[in-house]
Amino acid sequence: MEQLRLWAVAERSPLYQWVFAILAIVIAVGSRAYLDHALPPGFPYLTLFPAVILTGYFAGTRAGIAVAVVCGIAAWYLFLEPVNSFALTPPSILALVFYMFIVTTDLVLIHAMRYALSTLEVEKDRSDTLAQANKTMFHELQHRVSNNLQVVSSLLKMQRRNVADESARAALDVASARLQVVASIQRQLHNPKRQTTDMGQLMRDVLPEVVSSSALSDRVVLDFDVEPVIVSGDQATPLALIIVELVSNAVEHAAASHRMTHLHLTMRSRGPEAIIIVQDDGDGLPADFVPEKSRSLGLRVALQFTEQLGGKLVFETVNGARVTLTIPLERSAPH
Amino acid sequence: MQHTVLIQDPDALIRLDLAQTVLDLWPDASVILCKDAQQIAQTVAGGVRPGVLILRQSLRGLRGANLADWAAASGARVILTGVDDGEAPSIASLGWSTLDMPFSAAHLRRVLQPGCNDR
Repeated sequence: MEQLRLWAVAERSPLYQWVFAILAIVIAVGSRAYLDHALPPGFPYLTLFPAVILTGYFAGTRAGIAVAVVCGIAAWYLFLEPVNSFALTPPSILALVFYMFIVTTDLVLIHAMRYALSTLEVEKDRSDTLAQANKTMFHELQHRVSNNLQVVSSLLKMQRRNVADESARAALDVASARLQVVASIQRQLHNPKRQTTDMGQLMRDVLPEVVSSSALSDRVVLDFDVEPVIVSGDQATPLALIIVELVSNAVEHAAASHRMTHLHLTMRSRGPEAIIIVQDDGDGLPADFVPEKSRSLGLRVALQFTEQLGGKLVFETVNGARVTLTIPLERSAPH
Repeated sequence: MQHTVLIQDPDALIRLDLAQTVLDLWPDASVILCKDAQQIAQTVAGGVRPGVLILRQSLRGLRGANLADWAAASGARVILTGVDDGEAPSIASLGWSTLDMPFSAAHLRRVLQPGCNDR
């Protein structure tokens, strides 16, 4: 069927059209003459209609018209009574009118069909071009975003080198770590067909570097108990930043107790929700701890993003500090 | 061991940052900064033989600039930071490394020197 379509829309040279038409006329009239004695009376156009249709389809409307005219004249002379003459009798007039009506209808329909197929082909080519341009633009955009993130990352690193104050350096390290999280997600979404992220795998990739960028990293052991948790592109960045902030916060406070601290990240997908637990074995939360009143920028970021995601953040002291984040998973992301 | 590192990136800030990261790792390194493939070619034509190449190029771009064969024959450690999709296997088969942007100093150090401590 595809080949038939391609034949219909193919551009044909004038030479091709005329050769096809001549061959069609010769074969149609010749075969009709050959079969004349074997056919019952009343079939003057038997082989001529197929010739007109096939020529119109494969060689174009003009060629089809030429075949229709020549075959019609040939049939009038050779096959309509009285044969071997151009005499016009009522039956021959009727037959000729019938012939003209049929071939006209055929050629009009074939012409309309070929026009529709050609238009479809043009639209298909345009769609393919647009799709390719879209893909190219998407990749170009991704490269530009990557480049800009690299510039920002370089700026932070260069600023860090110029700063002597340790707390300022630590703040810049945190900023760099957050940037790397955003960049990791951006890389995952680089593929235009892939607009979801497995947060479990992402955290396995990103959190070790977040912990190692801390000055207290040698006192922290990070464990993972994560299942695949698939989130949409819109959810990935805020969720990743929440988790990074909670882990950074845990590293900062638990490890400051001057002993080895075990930090455990649990991630589960349960129906319409994702459950993330950051647990440490430190001294737990301060007795007067109120998250909403915390001066920590990281905690404020985590609370804001939790609200943005429509989730819930619960802080507890259970064998250390435990923070449980529950967020609804968007329907577009498969669980 | 003194390293000669050629860094190519069209962005001046990224070039400087890469140079600084290299010098943090190898304080005695000789670092050459290039903006584009043309400058790489001019540098190489001047007789410089870097041991490490950090290039913002794709494999296709490197071949187009007639630098791929030279890089492969030079024996230098090659790190490409501008690879196109699908080039990773070809690059790996050459024994070269890739870094996806944006990469941190730790990423670069890991690629430059496996086993190097981050701090």
